[in-house]
Amino acid sequence: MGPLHIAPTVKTPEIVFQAEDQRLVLSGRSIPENAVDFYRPILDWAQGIPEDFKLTVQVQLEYFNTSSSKCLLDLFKRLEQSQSLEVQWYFDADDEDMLEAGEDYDHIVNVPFKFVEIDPEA
Amino acid sequence: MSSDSDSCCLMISIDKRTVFPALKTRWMGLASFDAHPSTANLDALLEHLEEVVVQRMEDRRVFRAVIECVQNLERHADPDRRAQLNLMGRSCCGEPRFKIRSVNAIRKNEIQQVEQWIRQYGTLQEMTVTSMKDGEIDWRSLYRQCLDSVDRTPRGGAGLGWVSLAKTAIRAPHIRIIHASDGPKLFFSVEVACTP
Repeated sequence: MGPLHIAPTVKTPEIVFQAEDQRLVLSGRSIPENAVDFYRPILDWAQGIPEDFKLTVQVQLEYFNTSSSKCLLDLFKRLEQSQSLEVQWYFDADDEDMLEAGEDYDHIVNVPFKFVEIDPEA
Repeated sequence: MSSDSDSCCLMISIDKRTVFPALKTRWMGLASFDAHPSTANLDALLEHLEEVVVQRMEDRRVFRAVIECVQNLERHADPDRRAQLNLMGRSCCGEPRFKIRSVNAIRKNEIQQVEQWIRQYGTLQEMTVTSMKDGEIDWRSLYRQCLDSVDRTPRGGAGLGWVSLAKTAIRAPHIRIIHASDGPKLFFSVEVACTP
């Protein structure tokens, strides 16, 4: 499985695969006008993950638009095949909508979700 | 005022005060946009609105709605004709409420498609009435259905944006086509409160 690093922009998140701790991290904001184009290389990368690979996906997004929400679902569904996968969904303690967004994915895909509350004052 | 063919003209009016003035019970204009809906103009608008909404408020719900409304213009407005977007605020029982309203020209070859989207949106509203939850329309269940549907537009949304806005809005967004003298336009209005 190859390395993955996509630098952040004002409209797109930073995406990094940290091979040493088998962690895929998405952070920042995801509001590209064309989310399908942006997420294509990530989905292609995810296609190459072996079923027995242990992977943690950390989602630390502050904003994402609806076209990104479809692409995130595609990513989770692609990773659903992995036998040892966990999604860690970060949300600010006062951001109920972001928590609900994670719960919606948890409801749809067959992947364990762990919700990690961030103290915005910390 | 520039002519309609002047695509370089960008008119953004922003309430620059460092704190929101005490919101009155009637709607007050906080920001307005009147320009061609090019990517550059809409990026500038989003940047200004972030300054207005996010930097003065900790709550993210209103800016999320702003993002969707601005991106609706980017996706669907006729790029050759001016579009308008207004952000308004008012106080309702002491709580701030915000309204985002946009008007954009529709490309002639997309009128039927937009009419179809509005019909679909109406059908979705009717569907939700049959799944009332605690006396309220269950937009969240509908959102999950739309999110998990196989349908999507080339840009990814599959009409999810309107449902997403409806999920967090005070009431379902108001969407209709206006048959103006200079051609058909899409009117969109949504009212949002901060996270309870």
